Amino acid sequence: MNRNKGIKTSFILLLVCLFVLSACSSKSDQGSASSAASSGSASQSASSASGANVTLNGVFLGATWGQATQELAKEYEKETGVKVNIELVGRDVMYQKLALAIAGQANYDLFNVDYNWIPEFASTNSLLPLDDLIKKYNVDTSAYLPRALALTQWNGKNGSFGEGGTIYGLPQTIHPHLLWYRADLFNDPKNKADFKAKYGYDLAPPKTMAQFKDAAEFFNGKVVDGQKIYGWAAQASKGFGNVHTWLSFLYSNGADVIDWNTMKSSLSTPQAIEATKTWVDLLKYSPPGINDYTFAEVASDAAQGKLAMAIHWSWSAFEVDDPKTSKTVGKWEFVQLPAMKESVPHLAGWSIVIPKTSKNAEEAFKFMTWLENKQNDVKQALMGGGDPVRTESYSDPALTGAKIDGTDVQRFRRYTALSEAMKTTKARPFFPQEEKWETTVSEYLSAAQFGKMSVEEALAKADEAVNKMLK
Amino acid sequence: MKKLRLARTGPYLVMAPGMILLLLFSIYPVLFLLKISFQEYSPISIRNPFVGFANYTNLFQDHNFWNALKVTAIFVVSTVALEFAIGLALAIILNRLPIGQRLFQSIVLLPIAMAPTVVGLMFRFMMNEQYGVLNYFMELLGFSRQAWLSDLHLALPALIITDIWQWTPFMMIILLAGLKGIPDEPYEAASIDGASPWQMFRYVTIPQLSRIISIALLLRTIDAFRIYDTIYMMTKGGPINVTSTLSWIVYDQGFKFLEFGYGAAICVVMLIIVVSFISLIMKRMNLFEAEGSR
Repeated sequence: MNRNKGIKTSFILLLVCLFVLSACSSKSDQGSASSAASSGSASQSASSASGANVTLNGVFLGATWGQATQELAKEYEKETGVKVNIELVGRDVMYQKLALAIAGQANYDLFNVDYNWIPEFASTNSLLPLDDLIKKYNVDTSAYLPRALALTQWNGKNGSFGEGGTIYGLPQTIHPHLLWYRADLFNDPKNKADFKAKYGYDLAPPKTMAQFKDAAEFFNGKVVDGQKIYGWAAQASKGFGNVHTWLSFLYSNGADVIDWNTMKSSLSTPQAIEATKTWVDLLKYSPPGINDYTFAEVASDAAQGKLAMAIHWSWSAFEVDDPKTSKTVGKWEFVQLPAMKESVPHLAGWSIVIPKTSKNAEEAFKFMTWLENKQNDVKQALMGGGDPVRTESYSDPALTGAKIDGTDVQRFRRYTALSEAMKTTKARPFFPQEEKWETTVSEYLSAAQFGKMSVEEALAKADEAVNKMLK
Repeated sequence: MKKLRLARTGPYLVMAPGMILLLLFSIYPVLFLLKISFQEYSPISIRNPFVGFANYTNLFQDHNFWNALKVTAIFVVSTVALEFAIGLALAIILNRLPIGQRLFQSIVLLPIAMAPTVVGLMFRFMMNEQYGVLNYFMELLGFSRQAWLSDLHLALPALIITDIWQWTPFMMIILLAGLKGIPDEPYEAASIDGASPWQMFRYVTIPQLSRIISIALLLRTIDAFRIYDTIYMMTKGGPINVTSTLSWIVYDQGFKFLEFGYGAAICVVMLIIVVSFISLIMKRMNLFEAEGSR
């Protein structure tokens, strides 16, 4: 009887083990399953690559530029007969799909990537270098904004953003941080008079961080159109949001996150400490719950008229100009970020790459260059896709002359500030461990935001954790 | 004799095909997981060297792991205990309802039918500091607004409340099934002996339900231990790391940093913890069984 019980118990324990472990490993299992499932179709595509009926499979971010790509892919099929399936997914899923597709040699030809993944995947020889194809098809890469193209280049050196190198993709959209401000509030005569009386100088879009602080303090708590408004907002949530905003402060104060010569974390320099303290201190002029603000909350508060200023991505401006959802259509203007020592906004951007495992690399490249040609760069912007990556697009009359529906307000009025920002903007640290670096630093910044650690302590601990990671 | 043998082996024969399939589809990932927990393994790496116990030694020196273990323990103990208490109370009430049992059951069961991601998103909206319905009612009742998801002291309780809302009905339905299976005789006997309602509950209901309670606790504990989706939708492990559970750091290591080897080591440790707990419950179940057969 006891022996039977023992057997039963062991059997049930074994089953529980299997369930729990299966749950832990289900993703890797999925990866191998999907690769196995796709290997059949991969060989099918390989054979069809030389024929007329090529089908490309791409995975794009489920953002506006991904949706625009889906639409344009239909036009491409009509023009060339090449079918392009575009799957739209979120950022996390995209990263997993890319890694597992490469590991499992799945049948994907194009991936839309956040640029910080390029050094990581290029360093493991997982992305197709495009230099030969660029030469073969005579693609003029000088037409792209230099800092947009630099997001796709990697010369194998850590921190080498802007130093050239092998081209692994083409940029699809860029969006540096801009300072958003409510022009109607800044131009209001009463606000102007009150501001001058309090601070002794004219109220204008801030050019320095000291002016930004004054303006944030001045507007914070005011009641506008029956609703309380806050001085400013920006992404501040743990994850990636807080790192993204903080980098703009850090870069603008002349600091860098890593000493690229020694590969040691450099977050405890006086410049980094000053920048971080400034940012943390300014959060008191932000809405309650700011430490949980992601991209969506900033855009939503701006559209609902709850903010006087924001430090936010250029591309997101469409959200405040949408008459269906915004109470502030045409009221926002955009300028360069206020300078600490100088104005160096953090640059975000998404590029298109071809995994080395693609069976239709050449066809994928043709689609990619078609998607990012002069006409389609403008078309994507008009479709609400994202900010253009070609220099000439910024002076294209189709964009400069476009108005918000039913108004006389320029739809792309941010382009002047954006073009200026693209001359000084800087990418996130350019090295293969960037994703892990960001997560590590984010946690300590979050501790400083919540006052659980002093800025100095948080940065020192972040230094320690990053150095451990870099070993 | 032949019949006896068939009676003994019959159930195993019937279960065999299912079990074989389960083992086939589970055994490989499990062995693979165990193997890569001893490797520096990334799916995009050209080489994935064996590193012995390095992943495990690093794990025990990682403050994130100890924090996640603490958060997981608080989460599991709080949710399972409260879900059990509320579930049992609801089951007893429902069992005594003269009418409307089915309707009430259907309504109460709705949360289980919802995907955890949907529940997470729903509660994220409800607990939004500025627009959330929860703060609206708090203000109506004269309380101040709370930053439910970004306050260091409220974020974990917010997750616990969400889990309780979704999974208490599950506990309730299992316990209700158990209550319905208790015969009337023991209650009648206790009543004749002059037992009070509390004594009947303590000495009749609870012992009769003990096996069902063990199963309910077992299932909910395993499930609570693996919580991930709700955290993803509501707090993403923050603020700072107050809602980072073991599953959350497994995800971070595996799918954010592609450090599958390290992630696998965490999974193995999780497994050891869960299996230890299961053994404990099983032991108790065996004890009950032994007591019952005496």
